[in-house]
Amino acid sequence: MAGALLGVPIVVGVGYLVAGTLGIVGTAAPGGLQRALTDGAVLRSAALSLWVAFAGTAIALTGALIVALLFGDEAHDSRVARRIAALPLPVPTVAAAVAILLLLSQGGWLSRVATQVQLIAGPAEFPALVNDPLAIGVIVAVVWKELPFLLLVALSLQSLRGAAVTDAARTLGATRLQVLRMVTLPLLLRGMAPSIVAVFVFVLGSLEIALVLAPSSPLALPLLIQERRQALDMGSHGEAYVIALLATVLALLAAATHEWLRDDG
Amino acid sequence: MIAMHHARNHAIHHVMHHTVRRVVVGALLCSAIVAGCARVAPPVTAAQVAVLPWDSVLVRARGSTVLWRMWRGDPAVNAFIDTWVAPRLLSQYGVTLQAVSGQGNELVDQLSVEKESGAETGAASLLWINGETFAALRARGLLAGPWSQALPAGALVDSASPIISRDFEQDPAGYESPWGTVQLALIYDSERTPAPPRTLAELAAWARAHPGRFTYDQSFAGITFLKGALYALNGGVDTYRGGFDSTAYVAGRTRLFAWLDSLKPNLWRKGTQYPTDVAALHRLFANGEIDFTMSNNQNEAVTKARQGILPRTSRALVLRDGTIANAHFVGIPFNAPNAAGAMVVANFLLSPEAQLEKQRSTVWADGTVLGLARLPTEWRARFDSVVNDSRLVPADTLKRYARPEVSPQYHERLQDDWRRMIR
Repeated sequence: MAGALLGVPIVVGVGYLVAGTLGIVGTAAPGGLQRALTDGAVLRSAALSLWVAFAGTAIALTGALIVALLFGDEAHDSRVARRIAALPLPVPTVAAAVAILLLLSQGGWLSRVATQVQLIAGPAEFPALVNDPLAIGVIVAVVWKELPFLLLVALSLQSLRGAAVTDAARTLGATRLQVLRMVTLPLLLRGMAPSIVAVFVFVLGSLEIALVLAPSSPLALPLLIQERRQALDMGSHGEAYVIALLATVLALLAAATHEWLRDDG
Repeated sequence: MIAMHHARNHAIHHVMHHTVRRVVVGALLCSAIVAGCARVAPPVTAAQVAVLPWDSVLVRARGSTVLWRMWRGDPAVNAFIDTWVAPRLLSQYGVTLQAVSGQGNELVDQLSVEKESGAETGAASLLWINGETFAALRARGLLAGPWSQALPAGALVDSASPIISRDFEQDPAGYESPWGTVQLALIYDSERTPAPPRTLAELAAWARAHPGRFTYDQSFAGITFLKGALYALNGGVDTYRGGFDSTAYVAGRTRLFAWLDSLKPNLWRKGTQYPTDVAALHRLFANGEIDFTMSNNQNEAVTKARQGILPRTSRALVLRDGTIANAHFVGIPFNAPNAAGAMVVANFLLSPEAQLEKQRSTVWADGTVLGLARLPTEWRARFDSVVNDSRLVPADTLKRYARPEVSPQYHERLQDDWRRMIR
């Protein structure tokens, strides 16, 4: 019953997207899917968004694991880490993005400090960290937002299961490194898998961070969809549906990968 | 005995509970059916109101509310509407004005959906529109009219001006009423750039000498700048007058894009990235990352400097190759709930007092649509004093370099092609 309640809106939404793509509803011209898949702009946007999602999730995950492994074992350290990790969570995403902009843009705080201490002569010499084709600013904002979330998940997992199993492994003669490699990390990663996928999918579709920090070329996927959606030419609206469907498929693939990895034992 | 009594009371209670429940459910069902069947009378259209004597329109409007969907992106404009226009509408005409956000394709989208779903009464009674939005709304039959010919203040409008009498070459035909004019201008800092370029050729040379210090945005101001360049590089605006000509467009675009390609390496970020909209462009300028910004409103250099958003020494300049001047209008949607109220608002916006206040550099510095020669003498003097503020671009300079808008298709095609080929 609960599954049906959750699933129905998703099925209806995706079904409408598919119908829009095939031209059954809305204003998409036929062949929209093929056009979208061969449109260089769409492929570049998908590549950029996938890069940001992978890089952002990977860095956030690595950082979260490092902190959790360093501080998660001791109960006191764990509590302190948890409190610090909880701080960025209530900050709205767009506020975090604007803060990164104010900090890292060529006219921002770091650049001005660098000019003051005469490391650089002016804003143009400061590296382009926002609105840049590698989307560095976006990735920084993603990591700032998602690392604390993943850290909290990791710390919870450790406090729940960590001690007993690692103690058992040590008693059986495993070295610290072996324990880390064969017990702690697999346990953590398996337990965190749903969170990792959730973070990946969220970042893939995040509009707010892209609006503030993403480059104009290549255009992040959510921004491309918004642009086509808002065009006066009604045909572009159909294209927007198609690209949104592609983005949904990418997200579903990520979720499917998680299922496959989980079953793979 | 007592047990039977209890049992009987319990049974009565049970039956009553069930009965009450059935009555309530029945009542709810009945009222739902009745509400579904009840037909709310469709509102009076603007065209119907327009044939009434103006006094009747005023009577109809008194005590009503008008929801106006407009651009809310500028706090100065919002302040003018919320703190000057709205209270006067209430006290003079008894009309409550609610200004909410909505512009361009949002309006077209929403009204299209409302029309398809058969919504006879919408929420908004007034819309701030012009150009391609007007074209899209008209083409889909989403505007009510004709009605603007009924406004008494319409007699004061400068109908001889090509900027006001035509909206991107389209005849308003009574479906929209003008309320302001603007002209594109570049903005520079007189301290940083004491001798700014005054033509496109000089601008290109300046960019070569100062690489990375000029760019334009992807939104309305940037496209208007590009349109002006399209005219200037292709023999002037007359090449593009009289409807959309695909051949002329493609030839012109080729020359424009060749010019942009030659400019590209000297632009900010070497022309590989462009700011999203004019606000981002202003930010780059204010932070000292670039030396020019631009605005569709030539007076923004003064008004934004006063608000502290742009440097105090900001000045506007109008390129001698010509820049685009256009007017903005208000329209009434096909399903407006309060056409009479909307017409009263549109009329008030055309009043000399509203037009004068709007033009003050302390308020908005938005150009007037009134023909000053049609006003009584004392009003002419007051307008002159406001327009001849020494920090604003002089009126005759503006006029000399003003170029009108052409068919909205040029705007759409240029925006599409720029995104595909240049960005």
